[in-house]
Amino acid sequence: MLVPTRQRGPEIKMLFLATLLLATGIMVYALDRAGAVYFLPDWTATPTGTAIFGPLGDHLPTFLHPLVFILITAAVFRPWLRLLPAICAAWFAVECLFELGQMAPFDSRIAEAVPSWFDSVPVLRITADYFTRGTYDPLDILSIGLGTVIAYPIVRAFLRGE
Amino acid sequence: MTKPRNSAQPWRVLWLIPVAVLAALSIVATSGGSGGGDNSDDGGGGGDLPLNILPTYNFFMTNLPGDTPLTVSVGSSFAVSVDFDGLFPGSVNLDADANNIVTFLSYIVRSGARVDLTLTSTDPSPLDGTFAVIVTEDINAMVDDAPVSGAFNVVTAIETVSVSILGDGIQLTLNGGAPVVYNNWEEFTDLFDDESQETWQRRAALAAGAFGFVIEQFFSMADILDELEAVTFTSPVVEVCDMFTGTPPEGVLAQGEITITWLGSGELSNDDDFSWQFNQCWSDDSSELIDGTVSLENYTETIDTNNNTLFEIGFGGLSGEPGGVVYEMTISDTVENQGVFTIPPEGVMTINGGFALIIQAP
Repeated sequence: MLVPTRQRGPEIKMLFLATLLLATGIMVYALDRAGAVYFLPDWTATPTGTAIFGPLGDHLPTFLHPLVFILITAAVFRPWLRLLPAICAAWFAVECLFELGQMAPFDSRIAEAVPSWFDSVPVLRITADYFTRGTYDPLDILSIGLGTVIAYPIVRAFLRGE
Repeated sequence: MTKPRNSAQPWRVLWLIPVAVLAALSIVATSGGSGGGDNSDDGGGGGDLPLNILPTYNFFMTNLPGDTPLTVSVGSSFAVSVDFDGLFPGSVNLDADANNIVTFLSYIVRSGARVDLTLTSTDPSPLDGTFAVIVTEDINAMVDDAPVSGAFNVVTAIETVSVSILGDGIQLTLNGGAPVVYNNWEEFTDLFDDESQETWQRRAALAAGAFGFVIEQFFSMADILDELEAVTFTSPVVEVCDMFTGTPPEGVLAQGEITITWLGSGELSNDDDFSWQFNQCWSDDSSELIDGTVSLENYTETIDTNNNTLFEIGFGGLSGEPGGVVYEMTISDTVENQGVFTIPPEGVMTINGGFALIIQAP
């Protein structure tokens, strides 16, 4: 008897697209922002940013991040189509919370609540810095929204096998 | 009809955990830092290049770990303790010269900053008790000058006093009532000493004075930061103070001194301690005599090695790490009369406890 097997094509395509978009976001930090972020090694640093992405680079990462993670979520979870709006909304909320957390007085409150043991864990030790150093920008919220809205038809198309 | 497939299986939900963790970490990791976390503590990341100091930095003050709030006792009259409610945030504008000697120009205390003050008088006073001082609009000021704009509330269990710093005076309102206006900051803060004034106004004046004191202590400590590396080369560093221009108070040296001692070894590095000792140090400008010690514990400095810029500097940490600025000193007013200096009993201010202090790139 032939047992129908599930097509894995959409998941792979979504993960591939997510990787591509993630790489684009990393390039913004590496090229336009002089590598001055935690996740990039020192050797990527340049004296000044080369501004390859121009003004677009200011908000491209915040646009791409929800898009990437909605794609990844859909790829690994393969949800019902009717769940897709909820997934998009959830990522929008999460991303906005991080952005809003950079706004005073939330930034200092969050930094204060960060447990001291974070200091001994790579990446986690800059958690407080993310909130206190980062600057809240309403345009980032807008780009998060745009990323979320654009993610919806893309993922929907993948899930429908179009 | 084509029906969209769904392959969701319960175990797949578990994938959402690492995806969420990855998302959170990837957001946090976009924070600036020292590329790969290789923090330099001596500014060596840029080789021989001079360290870049930005024109603006954020600052944060918070309580020392443990129960040691900053406490100021004035004579035998009263004591005020300052409890920072979480982080006390602000920013400073500064000028760094070619030798990276920093001059602080102006500052902002950010909206949301809050301290809880507790006043304890020797003789019972209507001002006694704990009240909150909450900044409601950014307070702007030039260093060593009175604030020029901003607002704060002084909140007790039964009343809220709103203090607005306006261009032409200081406006006070009690529970949203009719405003009372004072011409300038000094006239307002002087209310505290005037027992004929209403309690709510005196309490607001005390709050303003306490705020000013906290800011003054911040700049006293911040001012010394650019000298600490030099101290490590010739520790201890001794500086003589002003000589009394007449007969000093009884038992006081005619000319005292300040000694700054580095308690570390090798090169200046994180977690080093300094001792800042005032041995009967008199200032001709302020007519104040300072005696005692300020311990500067757990020095921290981080250089952004990507651009050789000072990222963070201070004492202690913002999340309960040990260290900070710890006071054990007295500041006494001196009064001169026909060439003889004396110290009035009510002019002796004793400072204990302290705070953690971090200055950080924006």
